[in-house]
Amino acid sequence: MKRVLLPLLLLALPASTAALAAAADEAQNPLESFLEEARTSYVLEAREKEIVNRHDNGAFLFENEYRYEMTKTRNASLEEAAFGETSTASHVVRDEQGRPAQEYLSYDNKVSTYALSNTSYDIDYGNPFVYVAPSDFTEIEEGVYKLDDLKAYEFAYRLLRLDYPLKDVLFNFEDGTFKNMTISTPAFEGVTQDQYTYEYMLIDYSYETEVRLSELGTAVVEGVKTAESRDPEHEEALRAALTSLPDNFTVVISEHDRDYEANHEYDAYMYYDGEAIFHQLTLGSLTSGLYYCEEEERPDGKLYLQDYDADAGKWVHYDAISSRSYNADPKTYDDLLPRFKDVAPELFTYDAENDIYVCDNLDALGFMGNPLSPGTRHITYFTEGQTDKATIKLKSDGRIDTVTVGYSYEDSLGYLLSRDIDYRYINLGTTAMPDGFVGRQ
Amino acid sequence: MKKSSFVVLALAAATLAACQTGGTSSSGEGGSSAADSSLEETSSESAIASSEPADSLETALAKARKGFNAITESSQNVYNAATDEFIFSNESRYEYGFQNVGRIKTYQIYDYYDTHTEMKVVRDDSGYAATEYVNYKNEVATSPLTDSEGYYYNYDHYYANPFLYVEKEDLTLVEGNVYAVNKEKRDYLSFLLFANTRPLVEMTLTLEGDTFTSAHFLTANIDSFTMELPGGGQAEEYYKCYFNYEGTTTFLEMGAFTIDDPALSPTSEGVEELTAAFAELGTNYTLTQSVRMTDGVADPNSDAILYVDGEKAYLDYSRGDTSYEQDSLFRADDWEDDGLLYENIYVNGAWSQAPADSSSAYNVDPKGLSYFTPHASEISANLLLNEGNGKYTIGNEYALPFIGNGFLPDILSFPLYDYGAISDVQIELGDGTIGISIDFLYPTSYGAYEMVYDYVYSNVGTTELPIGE
Repeated sequence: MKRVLLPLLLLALPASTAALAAAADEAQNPLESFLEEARTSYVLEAREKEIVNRHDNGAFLFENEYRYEMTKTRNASLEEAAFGETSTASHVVRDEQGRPAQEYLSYDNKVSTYALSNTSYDIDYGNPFVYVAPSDFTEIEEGVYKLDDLKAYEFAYRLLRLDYPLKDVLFNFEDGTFKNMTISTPAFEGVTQDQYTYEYMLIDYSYETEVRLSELGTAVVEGVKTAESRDPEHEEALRAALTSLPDNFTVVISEHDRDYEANHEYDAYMYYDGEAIFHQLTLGSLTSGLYYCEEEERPDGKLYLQDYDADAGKWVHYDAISSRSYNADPKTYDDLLPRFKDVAPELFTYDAENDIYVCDNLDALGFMGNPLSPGTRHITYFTEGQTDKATIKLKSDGRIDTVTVGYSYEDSLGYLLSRDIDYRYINLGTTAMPDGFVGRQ
Repeated sequence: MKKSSFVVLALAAATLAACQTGGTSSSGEGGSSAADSSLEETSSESAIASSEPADSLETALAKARKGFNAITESSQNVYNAATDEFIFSNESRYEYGFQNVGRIKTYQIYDYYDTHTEMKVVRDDSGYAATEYVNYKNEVATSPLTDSEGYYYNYDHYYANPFLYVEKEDLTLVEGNVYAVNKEKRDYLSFLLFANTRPLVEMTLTLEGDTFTSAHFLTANIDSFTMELPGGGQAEEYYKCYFNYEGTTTFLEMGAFTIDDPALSPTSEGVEELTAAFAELGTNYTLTQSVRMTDGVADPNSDAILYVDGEKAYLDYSRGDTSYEQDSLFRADDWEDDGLLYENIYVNGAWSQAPADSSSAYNVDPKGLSYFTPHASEISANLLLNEGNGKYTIGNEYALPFIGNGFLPDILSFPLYDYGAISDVQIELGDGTIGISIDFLYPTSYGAYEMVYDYVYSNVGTTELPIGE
């Protein structure tokens, strides 16, 4: 591997070596300062051309063009790739533990992150320029630097997710200033279908990509912004309702397809009498469902899930026999009850026509589902940021009446279906466990 | 991997090999929040200047980039989330070797309790990760690793020598001769060095003289649940825990490490009768192919007879049935004088040229007679082993797994032979016939099962196509 001649005396001098070049390395300077800036942040625009020729006579057949727009900083990556009318975009941030995460606005109006995996952000989203150094380049003609073959793939993959063998990765400088990068491939053999005869024929195809960079070292990725007050009068009304839920209420839970009336025969009732929570799943049943209460044996202020032991005729501690069991990680009252008092009214807008408050903040909506639901009813769609509806209706006396949260999903035939869950609050302050219910003493 | 919007399918032969990456298992992961780690190092990213260490670092890096052996002892340490009490640990061992002089190669050995995996890859001319083997001509050859969908793995991304990415500027002296590695790069380096994919909170290299002798790493904490109790035994219930991975790598043979090439066979002995028989296989012969499971159960759908008469070829899948369904006749085009044989199928009582109506259709890329000539005449005599009683086998362990298509004409080449899953070859010389049985493992989603292909060459030099035209 030929290295550019570098009698650089880095030994006794600081790392920023722009001033150190000996006469022979004037060529190296543009790369060093360029890399230093690019390693901090950049905005990228690129065009990738897929050029297809006939194999038998080399005649040009057609070309496809892919467009890329990206912004990369130390802690965030915005990637957008487009082909024709379709495009995909992703916005990933590096959370405090170094994992790739989604940024969002939490129910209490704080910028938060949701980890997308337990793997390293840097491994998948790390800045490509961090992984190359001036010594990896050879100046093949004035101002044109070729990246070593052994570094080319990883660089191009990090830069643009290019995933094929490469021929040349060239950094082009003009008068010491970065102009663009070009990435080329050898020819690959393939097969395509003739659009007229429908017969298959051999083709040779290759890729040529041009990359332009801007805002070197200064690019920023706009983060999620906290919500501001827009309608103080209604926000106050909502705040009053959210903070006045007593430590005693009943919730009637109805689940239904969006825009369809619920079948109330399937309603579930959740009773909270200030001490224990009984989440009845079958109407009328006093011995099935989820019953949470404090336990004398475990005096830590947490509520433990009980299971009804029919033989013994009583509720007993439900052993956490799976890592997903509730009792493996028991919750406090705050976690099991809806988090109304901390919900930020600024995330909602008042719909006068329907007299209802609607969460219209798209940075927050995805993760509103669980905080607005009792902790006994957190669902995976909501945990993963898939909430797509959150509304609050107040009673005429200004207290909470019905909270509705919902999500959408694709069924097995590819149709988009939406499910909503209505939580209607009744018997505020007057709730007692249902007649005949015997809890743990 | 980006998908194209039009149909472009690579013609490269699909090959499959076990692509094992050392994964670590844990005791039930969950949760997305983690406890704070108090071990975050606070070193900055600029190099500390002094003349001696810088020279030694440069030398150490240069050595490491040539190759080395690395043994990493890693433990997954699990702690009680409420009390930070240590509960238990799981140990793993990784042995990675890198050769960067001459052929570029990596090997990886992973041990975790009863699990033991080994793999060795070489960087091929396209930059793919490939298996090395000895081909039927007794030459070192490569076959790219692939998954079940035919995806090829880039060598550089998965198997590169991590020191190719380490510059002097990435190392900051922490104390004594211990250097912290650039925070921004260390996660990817640890992936190359011992398959770690978690964010790290610490990674250091130790320099002794002008050689790196060891490395140390620690990952961030990850939340989980467990039922294990300190000292053994199980609790009644799952409870919250967190874990991290910590490990130490010992470097050996820095700058001087090599990975052996597959051994070629130097000589042949007692195989002249077989090689003479192989040499007769040219453009006139009959070849029957039949398939069975090792317990004898046959699969007649793969039975075929290939007749080649020096000019044309007839591939009979229907075993004599004159509907000629599924059969192919390969012959020159009446109009083109291009020396190629085109595939014809029997339609409406006559043979006519088949349309190139699929990406893998033969007529997309028609071939000449050489495609119908067995490679057997080119098999290196050195690979053949005489077992006595007219029986032979392949005597080179690096050649055996891939040897199958070396006995066959390309028209009957079987892609699975390039997976390297052949476990046995038996060759028998008969009276004017050569019989070859190939035992191999056929991979399915339920696991691999053993199959045998039986081939018999006969009527060498006297074959006539059994069909009129």
